[in-house]
Amino acid sequence: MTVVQVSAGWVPLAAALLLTVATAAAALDGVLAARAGGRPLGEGLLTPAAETARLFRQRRRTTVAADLPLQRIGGAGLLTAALLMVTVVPFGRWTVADLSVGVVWFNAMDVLLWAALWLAGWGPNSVHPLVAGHRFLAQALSYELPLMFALTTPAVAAGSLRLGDLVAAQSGLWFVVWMPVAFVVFCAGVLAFSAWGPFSAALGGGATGGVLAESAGVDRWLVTAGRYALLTAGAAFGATAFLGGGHGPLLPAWLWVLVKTALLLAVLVALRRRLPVVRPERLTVPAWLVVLPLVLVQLLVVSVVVVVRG
Amino acid sequence: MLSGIVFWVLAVVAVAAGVAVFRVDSMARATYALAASFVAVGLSLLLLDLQFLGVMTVLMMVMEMAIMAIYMIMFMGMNPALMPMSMVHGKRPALLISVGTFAVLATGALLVPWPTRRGAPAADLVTSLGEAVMESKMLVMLTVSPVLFATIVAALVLALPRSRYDRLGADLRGRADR
Amino acid sequence: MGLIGRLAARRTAVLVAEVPGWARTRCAVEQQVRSRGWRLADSPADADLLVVCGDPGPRFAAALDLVWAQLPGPRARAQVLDPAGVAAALDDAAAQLADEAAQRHDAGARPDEPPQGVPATDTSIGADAADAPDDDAPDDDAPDDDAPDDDADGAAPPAWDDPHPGSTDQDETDQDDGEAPGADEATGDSDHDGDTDDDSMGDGDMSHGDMGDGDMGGMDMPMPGGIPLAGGAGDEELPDPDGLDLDVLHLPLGPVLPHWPAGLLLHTTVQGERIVAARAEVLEPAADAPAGGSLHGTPAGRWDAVATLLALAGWADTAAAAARLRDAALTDAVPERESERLARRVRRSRLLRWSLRGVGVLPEGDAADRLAHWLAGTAHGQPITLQQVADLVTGLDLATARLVVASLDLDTTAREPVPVEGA
Repeated sequence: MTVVQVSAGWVPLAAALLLTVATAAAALDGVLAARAGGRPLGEGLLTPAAETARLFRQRRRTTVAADLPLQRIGGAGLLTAALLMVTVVPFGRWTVADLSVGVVWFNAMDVLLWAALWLAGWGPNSVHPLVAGHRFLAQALSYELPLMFALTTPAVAAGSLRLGDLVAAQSGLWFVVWMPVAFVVFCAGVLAFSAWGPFSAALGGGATGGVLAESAGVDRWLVTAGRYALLTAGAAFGATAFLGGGHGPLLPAWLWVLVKTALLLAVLVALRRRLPVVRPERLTVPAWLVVLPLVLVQLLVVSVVVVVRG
Repeated sequence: MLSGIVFWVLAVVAVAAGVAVFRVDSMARATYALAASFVAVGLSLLLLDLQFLGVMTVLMMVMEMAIMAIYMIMFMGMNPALMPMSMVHGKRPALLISVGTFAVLATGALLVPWPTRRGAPAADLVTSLGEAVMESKMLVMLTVSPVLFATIVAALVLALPRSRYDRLGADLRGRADR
Repeated sequence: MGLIGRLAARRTAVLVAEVPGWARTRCAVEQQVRSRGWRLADSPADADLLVVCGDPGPRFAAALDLVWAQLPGPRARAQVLDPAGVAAALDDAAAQLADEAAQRHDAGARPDEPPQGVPATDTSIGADAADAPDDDAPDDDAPDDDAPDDDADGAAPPAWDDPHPGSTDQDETDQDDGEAPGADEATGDSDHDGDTDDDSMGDGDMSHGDMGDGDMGGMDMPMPGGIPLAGGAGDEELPDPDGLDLDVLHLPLGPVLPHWPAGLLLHTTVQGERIVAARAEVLEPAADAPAGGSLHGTPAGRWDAVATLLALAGWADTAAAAARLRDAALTDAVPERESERLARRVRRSRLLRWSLRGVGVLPEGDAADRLAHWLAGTAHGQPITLQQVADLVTGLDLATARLVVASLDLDTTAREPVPVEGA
């Protein structure tokens, strides 16, 4: 299966697709919240629409001596990074940008979030967002290196950084089967750069709203929507790099990508309510002393297999 | 045509953001103006088909600037956004050095007799470049890189034997054992 | 009301402020919020409704006014004095939210510039906090003088009123070293279309310069936005464990803060994100609370404490389950099976234990131990003073301090010493 680059005219459609799937993720989160609260599940389905209506109706607010440009650049950064991430992910036979270094591109876009969340925290000139922004960077130092090596693993196995080649290399066996550690670390990395679930300390996992503590209206919407879009982009990349992308029986390739992305995304969304938040200052030690060696061993095993197989 | 427009846009952004580094009056803005400048440079590398280098530049520079901002604030101890301050120190020598460097490099670029192309570029540029650069020294290179990495890690370990949480636990009260 | 308004009303975010002694009312509000499919707000910026449970005293009322000024709007405010009146009050507030004409009028009447707090120069917060006194705080302390009518511009020295208003670049003639009072970008931006920032709600700003140690000499320094700069720590502060000389800020935590003991106001001095000095007090209600308003020592109180701690630990599912058990305990008996299941689930979580281990260590144990006792129902009251609370949070970062305070399950209705449930 070869991947072809579509013309730039398809870009809005790709963005709309990402936002649609992200909305579905938000609806799923709403349903899970309704279940936890003992409410009818259908009520939760409307959560993304209701929250969007609420935030679009709300006034924005500023704080004293805020650095508004930086705050807004940071706030818009999440959604932007997510949109840029999915440009390299092939949707069945088509891709928006057939970059020969797609894996590195994805990695570079997730590093943009370091800047985005820190700026969003710095801008309001207020204690809680500022602290949360710094805490996100502390967390980033813990997750980024394991994530990088987890991204390297499938690239080594496929002998290419192009996502199309990664998919082609999985025609027989999905990468997740023989690199499970890298897959799990990658999923944790997606949760971490989306500041989601156990890694949501920077975005209000528990205390006073985090980076969002001073944001209202459309500023808050951008960050909230950006978070779901990031999870979606991460799930789409994971489905492509580890779960075989478009490979599968009967269904067309694009539908397989969609199904796999949706399943992975559902798992990531559901994890949010099932786990407590990990405090960033306690994360560093296990991340560097346990996870990093584990993923390096995984990389070594994969490399040896690749060399032996020729 | 299109790549010409893209190049000029990126070039202007890179230079303008570079100038902004010295013109803005807050540490956060200066840092991220520098990051924006580097991102524009990295993206313009994509135009030269140096995709890996270009994307790597974006990745490294954003990461680096994010950390640099923390260090600046940590050591300056300044209030965010509140305190406007000049981002320029030691103006005169800095100006002299930078103008001098620019002049030397520019004259070099203009005066050096650039060689003309002989033969055609290889099919796999990266591989052939790597072989041209270090074919005979591959073993040395392979040894040097882990040694360098180990040195960095060892230096860090020596410089910071124990973190604040190791010394003091979750409760950071008490005098650090300095 | 249009479709947008009707949709928005489904997700109304409610900020609940509990006056000491009205815990039952607060629980009733939370239960109503859940049953309407609404949600609790994280911060004033997140909230549509401010619901005050109880009858606040003057200082508490002033703090509430500040929080009210921080709601972005459309906004509505309600006061509830007993659990029976909750449903009606929320209906009324929802109607206010939906009244677009009134909301437009409210938005038009609000000032363009965010109101801001008074620098700590005028008060004794800095010195008080550092000395951690045990006297009753004078009434002119903290939240009152954060009043929004503060004349900030008048306080700005000429150095700040630079000769190039609106210019966004440094003047060429500025000095080479930092602190050049050039034209300001950060505050020159006049694009204030929202409003307000101030704290008294823990959602604080950076507006309190540290003038507690007078050697910083605030008057000859520029004051961006009329705010004196934070200074380095004086002798009375704790040394930074990494040897950094970070600015100190005075940050009040409470009295209106989600998952926070009713009426508790914690004056903290923070350096970086670390609390270097703290002083705790309780803001009093205007009148005595109705008898039986407090939940402490009842099964509902235990589940309330569990829900609070779990919510702060960021575990949404179990926090919601604990809140439901609490509401069940308030109306009739706690369902045995569900409570047992929840307790097992919480106890099994290694992630949570790892997160709470070593937090808020008292002679009887840490936060994880206290949670285990609440879950097992074996907790009994242990006296803890406000001074002890302040001591416990000193030296911690802000997030850990929140966990510690939640793990103490303070009863702010009682006079000192306040009983805490522990092993």
